[in-house]
Amino acid sequence: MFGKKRNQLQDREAALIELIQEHKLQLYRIAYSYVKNEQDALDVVQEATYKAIVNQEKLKEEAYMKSWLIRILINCAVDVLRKRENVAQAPEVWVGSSANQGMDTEAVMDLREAIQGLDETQKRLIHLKYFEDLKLEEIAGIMEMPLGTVKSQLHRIVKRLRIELKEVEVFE
Amino acid sequence: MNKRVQALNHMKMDYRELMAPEKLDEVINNAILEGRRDKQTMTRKINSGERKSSQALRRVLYASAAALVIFVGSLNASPMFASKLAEIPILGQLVKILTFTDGKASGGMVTDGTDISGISTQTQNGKAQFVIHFDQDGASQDLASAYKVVYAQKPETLLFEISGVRMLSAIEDFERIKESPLVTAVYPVVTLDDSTVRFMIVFAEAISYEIREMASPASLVVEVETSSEAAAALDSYRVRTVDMPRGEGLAILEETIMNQYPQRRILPSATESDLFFLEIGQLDSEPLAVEMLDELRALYPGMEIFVEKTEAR
Repeated sequence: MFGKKRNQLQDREAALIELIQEHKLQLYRIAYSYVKNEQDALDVVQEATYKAIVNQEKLKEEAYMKSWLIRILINCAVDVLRKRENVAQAPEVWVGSSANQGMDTEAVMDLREAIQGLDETQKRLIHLKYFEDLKLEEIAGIMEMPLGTVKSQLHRIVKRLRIELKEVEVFE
Repeated sequence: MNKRVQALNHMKMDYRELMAPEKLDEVINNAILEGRRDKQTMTRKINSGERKSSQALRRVLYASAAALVIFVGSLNASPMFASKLAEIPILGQLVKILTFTDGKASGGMVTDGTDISGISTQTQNGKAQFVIHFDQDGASQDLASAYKVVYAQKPETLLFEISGVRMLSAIEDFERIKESPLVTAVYPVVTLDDSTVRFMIVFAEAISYEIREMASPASLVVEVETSSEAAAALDSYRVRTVDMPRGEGLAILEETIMNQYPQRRILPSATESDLFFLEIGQLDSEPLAVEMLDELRALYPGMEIFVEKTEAR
């Protein structure tokens, strides 16, 4: 009995470590998109990995492991931003390197500006959906929102940004 | 596609250009180890303090609890070696028990300039234990360097291939390893890659083995005992080179054939103590072996190779 429970826990830990390893670049990129520098992004990944391992028993269903992990990561990133003295710049999702910004076409500058005008939740949604290509179910898990709300919000954002995607592209 | 969609795609490409920094793997590995360590102690309700205390202090405090957990964990995983663990304490925390697929297992992380500083050996009650140590600048490494272990039969061998390594000080321990009644030979296997070290252990009989990767300090713990399962009592036919001295010639030969013949091994000569040969393949029947020999002769004219019957044990 004890042995079986133990094996389940070991399996979960193995699955979690595999997930972290498999998605390490994505985790780093999401962290970077909040804290915007390498050292802080590494700290965020480290803290999130640590917290996920220590708190793995709190995850109720393994099917939601990826959403759960990314949610921890985003919370860690927001913590880092809160601790920064310059609260004015917190928390804002970054969606592209500043190095290339000089080469932006007018259309890209317009879109960048339009995204800047969104509220924080909307920015996070568009970030996870269109920049990270996460599934709507995963986004719902990360944002702790009902799936229907994620869909309707994304629909509204796309309309507001005048991105004329086909229905199927929004809801795939 | 309208302009906005194009712009979005452009931004996305820009966003996806971000590369992972070199340190990412190290940061993740450390966080995993630290998390495991703290989770184990928290489960035991020993830890009520906050996490931000000195890491070094916590390591000391948790070491004994972690060792206990590892001990229990190993008992579950492998009753076969339970009796031994009670006698031989191993330092560090368990990272994993290696699982072999097609005779191969791997792990560890990218390092540079590591020294395989020593191999401690013990043999008791027909069981042998080898602990391979990893050092960096004279101090124990926290995590093992990237390694690959390959198991093969007839004769039974374990090959250790470790990358990011510049030195094999452990060569001084080879004589002591040879004293084990289970071992017939142990020798460094020459390689053309100067940041990789390989060494082979040849065993006298059929063995069962278990290898564990440990961290803080890093080591590979190899436990071997005579196997009760009799190996298939069949003759086989080995395609091999002539005996030659260990050196670049042998390494170049191996490199030449290595992609087509992944089963290759460098084995010690049966007759001459300082000579070795390259085993290219081992086949169940003589015609198959001759076929392979012909294929090799066509590909590499001038290579001195022949078929040798290996007797069933």
